[in-house]
Amino acid sequence: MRIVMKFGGTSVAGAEKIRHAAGLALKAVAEGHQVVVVVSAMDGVTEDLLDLADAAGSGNRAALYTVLGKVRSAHEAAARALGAMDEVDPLLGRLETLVSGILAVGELTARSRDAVVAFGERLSTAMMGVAMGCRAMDGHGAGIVTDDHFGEADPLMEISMHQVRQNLEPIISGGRPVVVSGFIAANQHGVTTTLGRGGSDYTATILGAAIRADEIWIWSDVDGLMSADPRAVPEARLLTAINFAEAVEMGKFGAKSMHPRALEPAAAHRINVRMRSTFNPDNPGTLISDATAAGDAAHAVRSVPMLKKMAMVTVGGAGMIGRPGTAAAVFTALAEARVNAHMICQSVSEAGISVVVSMGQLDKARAALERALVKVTSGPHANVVSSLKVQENLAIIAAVGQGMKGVPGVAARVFVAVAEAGVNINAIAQGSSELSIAFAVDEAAGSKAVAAVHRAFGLGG
Amino acid sequence: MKATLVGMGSVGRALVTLLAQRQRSGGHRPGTPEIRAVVDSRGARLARAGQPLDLEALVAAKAQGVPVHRAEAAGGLGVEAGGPEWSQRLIAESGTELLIEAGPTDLKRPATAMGHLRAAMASGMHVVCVNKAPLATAMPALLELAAYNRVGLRFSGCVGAGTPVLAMGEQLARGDRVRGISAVVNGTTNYILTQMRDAGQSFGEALAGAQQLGYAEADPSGDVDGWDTAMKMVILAAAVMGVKTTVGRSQVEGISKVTREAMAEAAARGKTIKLVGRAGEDGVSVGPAEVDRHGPLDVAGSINAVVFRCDTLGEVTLSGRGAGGPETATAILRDAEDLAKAAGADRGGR
Ligand SMILES: NC(=O)c1ccc[n+]([C@@H]2O[C@H](COP(=O)([O-])OP(=O)(O)OC[C@H]3O[C@@H](n4cnc5c(N)ncnc54)[C@H](OP(=O)(O)O)[C@@H]3O)[C@@H](O)[C@H]2O)c1
Repeated sequence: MRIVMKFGGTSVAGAEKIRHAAGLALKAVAEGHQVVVVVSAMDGVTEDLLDLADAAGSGNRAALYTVLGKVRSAHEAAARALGAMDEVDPLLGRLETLVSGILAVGELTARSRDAVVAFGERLSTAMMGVAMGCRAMDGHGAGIVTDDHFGEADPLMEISMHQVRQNLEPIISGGRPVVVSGFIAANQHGVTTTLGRGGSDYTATILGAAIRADEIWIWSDVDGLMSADPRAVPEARLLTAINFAEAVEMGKFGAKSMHPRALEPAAAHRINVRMRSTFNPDNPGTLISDATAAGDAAHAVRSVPMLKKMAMVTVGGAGMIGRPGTAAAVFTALAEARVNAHMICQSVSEAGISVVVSMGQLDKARAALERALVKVTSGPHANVVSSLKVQENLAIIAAVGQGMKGVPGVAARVFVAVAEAGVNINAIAQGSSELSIAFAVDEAAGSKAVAAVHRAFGLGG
Repeated sequence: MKATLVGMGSVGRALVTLLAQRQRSGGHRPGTPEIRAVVDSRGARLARAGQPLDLEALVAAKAQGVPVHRAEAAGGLGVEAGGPEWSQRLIAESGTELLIEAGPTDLKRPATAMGHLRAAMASGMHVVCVNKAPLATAMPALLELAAYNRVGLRFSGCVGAGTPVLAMGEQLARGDRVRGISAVVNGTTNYILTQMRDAGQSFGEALAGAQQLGYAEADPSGDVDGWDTAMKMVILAAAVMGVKTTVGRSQVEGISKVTREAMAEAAARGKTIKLVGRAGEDGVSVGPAEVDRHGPLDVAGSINAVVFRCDTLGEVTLSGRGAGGPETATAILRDAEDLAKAAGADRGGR
């Protein structure tokens, strides 16, 4: 088999864990598999490097040297234990030169921030290369090319896939493994960029698609995707197989799934993804494939994820009746303020539209909606919205399963189960996708509602 | 448009000669490229600000085996090749608006030409390419780079040399739907097969003869094993039918197993054997095949024939000379003129 394996930050946090991860990869090589390893930065290092970049940009020397010392000692300790000082020391030196340069210029650009952050993956990649005794390269070296959108760069997919194929194929067809740093790439001119959302998982699926891998393994500290959060539902079970659409939907509602952006290359090229745990490597984890289960009543609901710390903003006013443009204005205002609406509901009377956002984005959302709809005295939206109500401490719960497509009565079963558990539903998502039913409840009652739905569909052990 | 020319072989020299003739006869047409830099395998020559290169002196020097960086008579500045990716850097820093890539088609190492194209597009240069290798191995990637950098990419000289095969295919695909393409597009194999048929030679004898006459290279594998035809079919399939494929994914068989006997048998049935390239919605295949004697694909020597099978129009055939330096140079001029026109319209529109 041809396998791309990605190890997350917790799987490479320290020499012991790096050795363990390297052992897992080398075991697959010994079994005759062709292996490409993708690594994230050591746990917490990306955040440290962001702090470091900010400290440099704002001229805060004290903070800069404190954080730099922390990053240095964490990596030196691991590198010494692995015998990787020759690789790690020069990188740390370059990092120091870079931040000193930013400090001297006194300005941090998105471009220089990417240059700093990239060292997290460069360092862990170098150590993994030594631990595995094989070649290590960054995403740019592997061939991933992006646009110039620093901090959240989009790969130029065709040229990236072409170059990755050219660069990696000769190595792995020769039976040799190779380590590639996740998350970082470069623009056409070779300037370092970072991939943003999806991060190292995205790197893994791009590489997997390019070399037509049989499977992409995402190693982390959990066994895979669960039928519900085990803290809310103790009898929650590991899902052994789901499909791409379900994985995306579960991720939207808070399950520890992969980012949709990271799943995209795998879904487009039909490459199976396996989520599994380095702590429990005998467990095959959750397989995400393109097998479909539409109309399969027995699997109408597979999982009940929950998003906590939510708030609902409702704009209302009699003037909204018969004015469909208001909904569009709401979405535009939120999009412009870069607020992510997790759920949208409209009352039957059309006299109100509610959006559910995270508590962290509540102030931004409220301000944007007031500016666009409430405090307007002229134009098409003048005097349409008269009230803006906020409800805090909510949870969004979703019943997710591709099998519900075309199966009648699933929504009724969900809502009856919640009602029988004595939980009041505050709002129901409108026009949600064909594979989920989402609703909002008070956060305090969230676990109870999840457990009720979980039980109603027989998802427990 | 100010241009950088890579490659001073038969195509590059023919192009420069044509441009020199146009200059002398005052027949300057809008959109004619102005060569400000030339590159060969050993180095480059760059025009100095405000002064053109002496194109005739350049051709004369190359004809005597002098590399361009030593062709002082052409004026400008000579630069010797040096360091990895030197030609990419030179292109990126040339200050010109157009790259004309006429370097050698090397299917085993397409990276050099690919690097030229990437460097040009990343610096906002338009590209005219007659080198088949990068297109046949990375067409989707090149189209993506052209779109992303908002530059034009033309390659009509890659198939049929000066005969506008791609243009006709694209025209057909506009009103109708092209379902399949069959073609004889390699002169070397066509010469060999004709000798086998008309002079009763074996494959080996015919190949040796072709090499003596200079119709076949010392290493003839690119032609006789079908790779040249495969590259052309991949490019055709992509440009005309939107089929994304590569040479690596194509089924390719050459003509070395064709026997005199098979040839004679085919002739007895009113057929003849040609190296036929096929492109369909499921990809490209190349191999020896029987075609009707005196039918559309029964062409001689360096003549190419391409049959487009369309939904409504049925079969449409184009044939014409499919190789030659001057022929290919006309395709370059045509592409450059198209690009200049498109760039002009773009500016006018804003
Ligand atoms: N001839 C035709 O009928 C025809 C038709 C259609 C398409 N084409 C294509 O057009 C291209 C040129 O054909 P041709 O017949 O002119 O080939 P050619 O005679 O072999 O000339 C190749 C030229 O490229 C130069 N070159 C080699 N390596 C280079 C490098 N790394 N960087 C820059 N320049 C380099 C050579 O330099 P030196 O001069 O220093 O050796 C030479 O000038 C080929 O890709 C061919 O497939 C040809």
